[in-house]
Order: sequence, then structure tokens, then C-alpha cells
Amino acid sequence: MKAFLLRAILFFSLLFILASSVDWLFCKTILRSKFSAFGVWGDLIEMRVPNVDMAIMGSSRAWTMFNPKTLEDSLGGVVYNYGVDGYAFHMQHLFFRQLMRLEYKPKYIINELDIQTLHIRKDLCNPEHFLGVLPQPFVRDYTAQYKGFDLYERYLPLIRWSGRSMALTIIQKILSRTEAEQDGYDRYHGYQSNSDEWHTDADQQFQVEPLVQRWHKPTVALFQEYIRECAERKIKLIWVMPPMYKELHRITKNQDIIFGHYRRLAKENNILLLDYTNDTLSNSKLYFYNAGHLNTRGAELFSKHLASDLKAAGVRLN
Amino acid sequence: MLFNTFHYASFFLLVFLLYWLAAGKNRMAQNILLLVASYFFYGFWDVRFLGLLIFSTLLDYGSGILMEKVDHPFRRKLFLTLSIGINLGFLAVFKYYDFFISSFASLLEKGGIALHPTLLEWILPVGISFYTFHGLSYVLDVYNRKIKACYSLIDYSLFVSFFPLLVAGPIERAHHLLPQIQSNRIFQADKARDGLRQILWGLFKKVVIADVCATQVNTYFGDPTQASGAQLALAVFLFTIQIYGDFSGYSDIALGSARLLGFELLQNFSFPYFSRDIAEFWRRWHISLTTWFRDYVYIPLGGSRVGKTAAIRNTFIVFLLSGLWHGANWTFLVWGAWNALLFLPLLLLNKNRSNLDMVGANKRFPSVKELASILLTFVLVAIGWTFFRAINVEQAFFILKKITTDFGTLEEAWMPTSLLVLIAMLFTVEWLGRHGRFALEKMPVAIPVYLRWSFYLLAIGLMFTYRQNAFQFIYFQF
Repeated sequence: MKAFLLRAILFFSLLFILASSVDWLFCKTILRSKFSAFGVWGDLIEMRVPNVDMAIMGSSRAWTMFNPKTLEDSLGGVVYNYGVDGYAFHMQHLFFRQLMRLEYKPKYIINELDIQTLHIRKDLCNPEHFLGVLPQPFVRDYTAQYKGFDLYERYLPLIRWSGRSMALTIIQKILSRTEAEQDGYDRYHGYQSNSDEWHTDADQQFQVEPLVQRWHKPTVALFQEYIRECAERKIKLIWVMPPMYKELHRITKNQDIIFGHYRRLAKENNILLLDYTNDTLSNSKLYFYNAGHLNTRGAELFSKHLASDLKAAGVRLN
Repeated sequence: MLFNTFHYASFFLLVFLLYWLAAGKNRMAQNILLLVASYFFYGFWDVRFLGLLIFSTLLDYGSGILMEKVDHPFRRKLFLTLSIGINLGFLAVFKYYDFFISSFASLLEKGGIALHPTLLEWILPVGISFYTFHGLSYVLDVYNRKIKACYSLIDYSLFVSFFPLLVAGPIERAHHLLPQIQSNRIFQADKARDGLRQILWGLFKKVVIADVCATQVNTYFGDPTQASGAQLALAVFLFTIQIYGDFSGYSDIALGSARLLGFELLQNFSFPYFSRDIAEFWRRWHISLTTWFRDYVYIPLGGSRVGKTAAIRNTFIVFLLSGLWHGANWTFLVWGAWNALLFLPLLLLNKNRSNLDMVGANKRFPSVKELASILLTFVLVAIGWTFFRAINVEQAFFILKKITTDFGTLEEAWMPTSLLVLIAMLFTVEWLGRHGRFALEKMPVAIPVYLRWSFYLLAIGLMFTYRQNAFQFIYFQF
């Protein structure tokens, strides 16, 4: 029995070492990619964009609507957009955690706020984006709260890569040096606008009965904790409620309560809050590709508007 | 808890360590542990049906003891009838009620009588066909005084519920498994290593072969009207491979798991696609079911020694029952009938036992004649699988018609080169290992340890690569 167990342990240790090595290679390779969210993680973990002075945090509304280049041109310094598609504040906070591990901390953080910021989804959106960073314990902790990776995928090497064709294709292209710049590779500091025009099916968003947006209590508490930590670290917060197409205002029954909550918190903590929810852009479908997201045309105008307002408010990055 | 999941790997590792290290050499402790583990394993699927399994166990346990204690022939027969009746009653209600009622209604409808029967639409308890047959073999053997009744409820319950074979066999016999349960088991390292090798090969067949084939099979069988004849021929070919990889893979994992715990289960597959005729195929495919029907249906009916007409009748009965055992659908009945039709000429010409040995016994390669026989048998079996896989008989005929009348071009039957390589790897390894009970059994003597370990790592690496979504084992639905 003892000999058998020893032999089995030897074999499985060998297997574990091999699997861990391949896993390590995959992680390192995918973090070299500049594609989509893989590129954002790569920039952050591999510190390809060091010394970020202003970090933009938020959901896809941040990612597609806040142009760091426009802000850099106006405010100086380095601006990076860490907007993460499909997630509310809890997952956005993961990027904050990683930023706090770096020696150089941003002077400002812009939080994109909307009606879903303090909500939480149940499943992982785009789980492939986390493949290269899942071995990091703090990433494992954050993603564990969503349905996506099972226990074995989180803790055993290599397993989580199985069947993830997009990530594996990227790795294959990088390793074979055939990776080509194409759509999705042209993000500037995380930002990528969407040039689509208003989708006709986007009108369906207004057909639903108004609903009450629930708050996720642990996320509300995390948000409070985040405000406190930023104050302690002397990081200035700027809250931005970006434009939303006018019809969207009536979809959420408790929108005024949620927005009121943000205003109260901003006032209590002396945080600059810029509200563009009723901006003139909100009146025209010309600037949106759906009710919640500005298209490239709208995003560029909005970013210029934001840069100008920040400058007027005395924000300087140099 | 599917065999091809990490849940099962964790569960089995825990059971294995507790079984050999904590329970030690205490047979009773080992049996109790295995019984608890088996009920946990079954309850993991659906705890509601655990009661049914326990009831069936108690029924057969009690019937066995009563039949042994009572000498009066009528009373013995009564207990046997009760046991068989209740067991088959459960099977009939859960598995066949809806099929027979709806078939009867549609028959009446053709005669102009409209009937709208109430269907039960119950979920089929997993493994019911398997554990019912375990129990039936026990009571029949006790009744025929081939074995003594088992007086230990724990031992008997373990015989019925032993987790490696509980949900998809092999269908064990009391005279084979009960004595193993009732005797002390000592850890044997070579047996355990054999077990691991068999599990590895079973997983390879399931994860790398069957599940990869399944993707293309599901596409073409999902909507055959959109596929060309060539694509449907490819789908039939791939399903023939898939069902072998799936079911023999399952059986290998079951046998390997049991061997790691010191048990030898009945061999369920013996390289069936190397068969030279259909009779040989049935001696090598799902052996535990084939021999069950042989011993408890075919031979009691008189077998082949009762005249030609009765032999034809008996053959049809066995194959149709075997089809019906697989599922309540006309497709399975036609599949059974097709196999009976293939088997009959061999039986009538007294050639059903011409190929008893393994093909190419002392040779590296088969002769041209043998290869031709193997290919012909493969094609005939594959035609049968078309009915087995199709959702109804009409679809199966549509597929076969399209293959024969509207084939299209061979280029349309495209499949990834990698899949072709994997299938070639499967058959090469199986051919090289065909003299063992499973393909990798003789591997230790054939090649040095570093090559062997490299092969294992390659197989595991391929499993990592192709582990996408764990498909359910096909035979779990039976």
C-alpha cells in the first residue's frame, strides 16, 4: 500500500508540476496580449502603463465612454480606463485592489456611477478575461462570489483553460508570432468606443415595465469602505454619472433614490460629483448605440465635456 | 456525480483512503463504508429515488430468504413471482407506461377511435434498469438453488448498490460479486495499478473520443434534413465510435474503480469492433447484459436446441427484449430486430460460434479476409446504431435513405484531422492491447516505465485539452 501510494504521489506530483508549468506559460503569454480586457489585465499586472495618475473605474459605460486620451490632453499626466464590461462596483473594486498593490498610486479615481453600481450579478461575465490572473489569490476571492469557475478550476492548474477557445487562440497566435493587430487590439489605455449607430432593437429596452433596482448590501458596505480607504490614502475621488438616453430614466422606479444616495454620499465625503444624466446629449439617439451607452460620436463629445469640467474644477495631473 | 468529473475523483479518493486506511482489514467496516458511499453517490443524483432503491433491495433480500426457508414449491414460486412482479412493475411504470399507453392510443386512432390517455411523464430513476436486473438475477438464482440466500442485509444491499456499477452496470451476478463482498479483501498494488490504468483508458475513451465525436453527431442527427448524405454517413460513423467510447469508457472506469477497492467486476466489453461477425460482436459488446438475457431468457425458453422455428422465435424475443430494455421507443425495438435479423443466418447455418478467439491471435495484423469481415460487421452494426441514435424510426430511415440515394461528395464529410488522429490512436492502442481484459492491461510488460508514464501524461494532456462540457454518459438514460 505504502509503495503504491508513494508511486501514485510521485506520478501526480509530476503531473502537477507539468500542468503548473504550462499554466504559468499560458498566464504569462495571455498577459502579453493587447486584445480587449486581456490587454487591460496585462497593462495592470505587467505594469506596462506605470504611474497612472488618474484611474477611471466603472462598467462597460466607463470602458466605452470615457476617453483617457482626451483627459490626458486636457489635464496632463497618465489616465487609464479600467472599465469592466458587465460588472458593477464589486468587480470594479478588484481593479482598485490591484492598483493599491502598486508602488505608484493614482492621484484621482473617477468612478462611473449608474443605477446598477451597487447591484451585483450572479454569474461571471466574460470569464475568459480572468484566466490569466485567476492564480492571484485576490482575483480568486473576488471571482469566487460569482458563478463561473468551479472549485477545481480555481485551485488546480490548467483545468480552467480547457475549452476556452478565444484565450487559447490568442496564446497560440502570440507563441507562434502570428498575432496581428485587428479589431479589439486598438484600445487606448483600456478605452474602446463603439462606432455603431442606434440599434433598432435597442428600443425594446423601453418596452419593459419599470422595475425596482435592488441594492446588494455587502456591495454598499464595500463602497463605503472604499470611500474611507481612498480618503486615508489621499486619493481624490470624482464621481461621474454619465449621459443616459432620456427614455431610460423611467425604467427604474427607484432611480431618484439611488441617485440621491450618491449625491448625499458625495456631499458627506466632500467628493466632486458631476451629473450628466440629463445632459443635452441625452436627448438624441444620434449619440447612442443603445439607451445606456454613447457611441463613438457621443463618447468623444462627452469626454471633451468632462475634461473641460474637470479642468474648471481645478483638477490637474502634472 | 458523473465518472468524468472532479466531483467523482474527489469522492473516490476519499472513499479509497478511508476504505484501505481507516477501515483497514475489517470487512464489515469496509462494507458499511462502501454502502454509505454508494447511497451517497446515488443520492447525489436524485435523493428522491433512494427510497426506491432501498425498497427494491429489501424486497429481493426478503424474497431470497423466504424462498430458501420455504420448501413448498407453490410458496417458493409465489415469493419469486411477487419479487419479479413488483420489480418489473416499477420498471414498467417508470420506464414503459407512457410508451405503451401512447402506442396503444395511436394504434386505436388509426382504427378511428380517438383516445386521450393521461401520461405520467415521470423522471426515470437513474440506473433502475441496472439494479432491477441485479436483483432479478439474485432471486432467480436463489429460486433455482444455484446460490444460497444472503442473510446479511449489509452485504446484500452492497451487492445491489455498489457505486461503481450502480447506475450503468456492468450487470453483476450474485454468484460472482456476493462471494467477493463476503470475503476479506487485501490491498494488492498490481491490481490497484491495473485499476488506475483502466480508469485512465476509460476516461480517455469518454472525454477525448466520445465527447468530441458527440459534437458533430449531435449537429447532424439534430437536423438531418440540413445535412448531405455524406455528412449523415459521417454522423453514423462517428456515433458508432461515440457509443463505444462512451459506454466502454464508462465500464472501464467502473471496473477500474472496483479493482482499486479489491473487487473484480464482470468484463463488459472485449474489443467488439474487432469482431468478424455479428455473433462475435454480441459476445464482446455489453457482455453482462447479453449473458443475462442468455441465462435468464434465452436458455429457459429452450435456446437454439428446440427446433428451428422455436430458435428463431427465441432469438427475436431476446433481441427485442434487449432493445426494449434500452428504452421505451420503437427505435430500440427496430434496433433489436435488426440485430436479430443479422444474427439469425449465423444461427441457422450453425456458424454463430465460428469466431470464438480474438482476431489475429498470433499475428501482428489481421488477414485481408479477417479485415474484410471486421469492416463488414462494423458497417452492419453502424446501420443498427442509426436506429439507436435517431429520435424516431422515420428519422432513421430518412438518414439511411439519404446516405444511399443522395450521398453528395466525400469532401462534404469533413471532420477535423485531430479527431481522425484520435480515433486512429484509439484503434491502434486497442488493437495492440486486444489480448488483455482492457487495452492497457499488458502495457507494463510491453514497454519501459518512462515510455509508459509519457503515454499516461499524453492521455491526461489530451483529456485536459478536450475536456469541454462533460456530456452525460449515454447509458445513464437506460
